[in-house]
Amino acid sequence: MAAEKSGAPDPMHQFDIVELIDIELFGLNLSFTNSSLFMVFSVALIIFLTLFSFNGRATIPTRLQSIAELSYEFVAKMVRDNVGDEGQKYFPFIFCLFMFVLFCNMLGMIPYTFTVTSHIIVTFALAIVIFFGVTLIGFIMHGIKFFKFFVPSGVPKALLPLLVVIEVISYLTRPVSLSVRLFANMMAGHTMLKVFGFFVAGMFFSGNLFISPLGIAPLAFIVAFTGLEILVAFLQAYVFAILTCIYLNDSIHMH
Amino acid sequence: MSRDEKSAAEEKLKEIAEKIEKYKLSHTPNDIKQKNKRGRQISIAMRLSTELVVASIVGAILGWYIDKWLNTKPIFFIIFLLLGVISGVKTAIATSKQLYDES
Repeated sequence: MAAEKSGAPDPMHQFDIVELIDIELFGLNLSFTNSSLFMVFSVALIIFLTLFSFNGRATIPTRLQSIAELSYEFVAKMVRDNVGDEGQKYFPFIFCLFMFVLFCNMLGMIPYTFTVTSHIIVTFALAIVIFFGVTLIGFIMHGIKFFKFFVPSGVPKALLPLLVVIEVISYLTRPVSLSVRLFANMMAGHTMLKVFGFFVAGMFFSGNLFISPLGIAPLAFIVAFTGLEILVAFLQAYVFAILTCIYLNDSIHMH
Repeated sequence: MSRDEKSAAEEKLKEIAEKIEKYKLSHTPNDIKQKNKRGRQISIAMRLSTELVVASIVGAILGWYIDKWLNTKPIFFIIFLLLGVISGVKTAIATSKQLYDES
């Protein structure tokens, strides 16, 4: 886990991208990396969960079927509460998004795995797709009237230019804050886990009789923090999906 | 099925859904309800910090590129940085309002 060359522990080593299969097409580096591998893993797991758990279609569901049903109901309720009936069309997209982020986050919690969502380019790619999609939906549904979204009502005319600029900035902030939140939470948590992991190893194997037993303290911290990280992994997927719902609602209903 | 029948059926479906929701709510233990609420509140609180910071950064980057385009360093950088901070605070206020609605 530690950096091999310098011998010093390197908590950022876990985020290194390793090219597994070199592919170069049209001058672009399209290599199959460890990041792609774990994306494939999570997608395969989601497909397995959603397709094979319903094999029995039992009235009294098995454990696996229960998980699939719960996740379906969870996202369906989220879409219904935040977007309304018009949002049901977009349910498949939001369900895919939620499950993908959730599984990437959760797979990253297993030791020796790679956390896909700890790279900002991945989360930003997801967020920018949502941003353009939601803006497009707004323009398709409201036409040119969608520009009214940036004009707050009941404001003196003199202040309007200033407020429109502020509204546009806060609209442009959406994809950035959406991606930064997910990426920062995942990266910070995993770095923290690694740093405290080095404390445990360093203290236990220090060879000093007084320091070695004290290594139990960071170990206890790691155990508690892993629990918190699992909560964060779920919560971030939830926040990502619910914000997509809120943005979708804004462009469908305006306000 | 005519349109009236269809809307009547939808109405009926909605009624049943509401009934199920009510029944579920009355049969959920209070501590689980409390926990669900706390989860939603944490999710809103998590949004606050990034919204505040990222808005000012986005404003600053916008201003920086407008300056580069118009060769007016650093006027627009400063203006847009301030506007970014304002929009960040505005979004944060809107988000924290949700937090109050939840509780």
